[in-house]
Amino acid sequence: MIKLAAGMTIGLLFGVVMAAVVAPYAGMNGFSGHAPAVALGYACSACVGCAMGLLAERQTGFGDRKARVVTACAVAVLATYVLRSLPLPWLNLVWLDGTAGPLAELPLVVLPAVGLMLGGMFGGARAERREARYPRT
Amino acid sequence: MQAPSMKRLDVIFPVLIVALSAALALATIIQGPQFHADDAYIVARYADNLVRHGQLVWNVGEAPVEGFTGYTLLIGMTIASWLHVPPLATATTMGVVSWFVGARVLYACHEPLGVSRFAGAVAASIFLCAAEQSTHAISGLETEFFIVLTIACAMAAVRRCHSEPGAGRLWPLPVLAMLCALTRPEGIVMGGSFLLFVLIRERMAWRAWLPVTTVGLLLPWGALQVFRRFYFGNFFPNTYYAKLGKSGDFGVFLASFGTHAEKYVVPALVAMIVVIVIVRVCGGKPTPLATSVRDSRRVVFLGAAMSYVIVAASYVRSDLVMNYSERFAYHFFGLSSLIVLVAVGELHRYFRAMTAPRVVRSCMFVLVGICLYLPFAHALEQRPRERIYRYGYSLGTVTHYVPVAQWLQEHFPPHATLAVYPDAGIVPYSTRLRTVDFGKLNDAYLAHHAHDPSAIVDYFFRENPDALMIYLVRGFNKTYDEGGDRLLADPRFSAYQLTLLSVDQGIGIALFVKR
Repeated sequence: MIKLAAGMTIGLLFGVVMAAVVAPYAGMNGFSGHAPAVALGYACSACVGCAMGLLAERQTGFGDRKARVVTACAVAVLATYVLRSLPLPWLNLVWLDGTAGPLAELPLVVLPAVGLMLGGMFGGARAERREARYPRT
Repeated sequence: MQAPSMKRLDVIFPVLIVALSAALALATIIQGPQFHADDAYIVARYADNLVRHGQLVWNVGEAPVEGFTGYTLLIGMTIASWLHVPPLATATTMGVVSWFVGARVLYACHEPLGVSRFAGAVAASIFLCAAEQSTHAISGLETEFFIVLTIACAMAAVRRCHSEPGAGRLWPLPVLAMLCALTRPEGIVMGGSFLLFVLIRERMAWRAWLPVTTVGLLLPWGALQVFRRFYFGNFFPNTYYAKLGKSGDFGVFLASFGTHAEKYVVPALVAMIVVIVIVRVCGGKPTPLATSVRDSRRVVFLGAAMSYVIVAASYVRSDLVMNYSERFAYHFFGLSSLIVLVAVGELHRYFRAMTAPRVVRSCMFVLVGICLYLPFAHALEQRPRERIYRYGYSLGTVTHYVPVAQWLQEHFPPHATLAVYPDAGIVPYSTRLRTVDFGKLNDAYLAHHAHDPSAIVDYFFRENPDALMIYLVRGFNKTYDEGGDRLLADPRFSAYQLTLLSVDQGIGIALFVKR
């Protein structure tokens, strides 16, 4: 549980930092509108995934570092795609920072969400591994 | 080895999602509102003229012009007219039946393509749930029938890949390809592509294929081309020249196709690619595919790719007039659904082989589940828009066109000439008047030669019709196109007086009658 919470916290922090860095470049429309902005969104998510894969501990059940990094990147990209594509008009965050668009178009939302999920995934994997090695009696 | 409960789930889950999707599809049709597209009325007029006067023409006693897209719908409507069955109701029935049959045929493709029942059910469900399907099914056009034929062609082709070259039944594929060609002009590309790649695979057995292909496809298609050349005077339908004559923006079709693919095809492809990447890097080993399954998939991909490229290239500068519900891109929905079927099948096969930690698999399960749900979410979001479109069209027909048709029937002699700009739909069909179609589909001169507005205006005054029914976009300030604007502004048009005007917020129709 501690591993899971720690992983999620690290992921969330990483996502927030990344969002803070990239938000000025993304502009008012965030990761929506033109193709470069959309590509930037996916690239940022992949960066978060890459960093989380590199930071993740060895004992998470993956074969090697490359497997961790590629899996994290792939999951991050899929999560971003799902978040961007879900038609959720009630989650429109116009009130948040003046941008008119759905939830996952905003760096401040999508990147921390992806980081949180990846942190949870790796933290959970670590906990799962530990559980298998030292089962509770 | 699967547990009995998992085996039961393998059967129950596909049945359940297909049944729910079919129920949703049925509810969409029952819920209405009903409508018929303009082009359906055009085909009905040709069928009517063929039955009543024995002439396949737009105007009785005039030179034939091929203003319809395909022959299958025409044959269906002609038979219906001959049997005194309403031809448009027949066309709608054909569309609705084809929609459900299409889902069944698509599901049946899962076995020869080597994908799971689950994948077949997901693809069939997306096919049934896609919001635009209901609009196309009830429009009275050949869209759904064409879609089911393309899927059937692909199924016949993939089944061939499980047989020895030249052995077994060979005739279904050429005959289905011919039916595709009869249904829409681009059908020869779609059916022919699948046949071509099967023939390449079975090239050693060319002697067995030669008579079947010749009798089933080449001779009838050749005969159709000869008939076209001698009866209508062209190798392509007039609708083709009409669209060429207009100056469509480059890539409008591709954008329309992109919108359609983004909603219904891309989610499955994205999920498949991500799962394959994860399984590959984590060292999972999916169950290997048989050679015949690999062959069948190769035939589907190559056939679909060739069809996409050729048809997209031919549409690239077309003006997509009345492109409701991505109508032109929708002809690819059969092929797209096959791609979805294979993508979901691969996704399922690789997912089962995933060796990543359990928490990663759970996370992926949720993400992939939502990703596969996306087409349904988009369909649910699109459903109200489709209803509004159908309702608007149906209301427009009742409020604008039906009164004009009634007025013309009451006040015009049967030999009078009507000009329609551009909607040659219900009014020419129900009045049976001689009609000059400024939508160009049913007029050879306009389709081939009238490329600028002044030529259209000159042609109007040369034809000297007794009445003009014109579509208004912003009252009299803006009509359907520049040709229409110039026509109303022309001094010679003072010979016509406004007789009927049906406009709602600037949009509607005006009927001008010669003084």
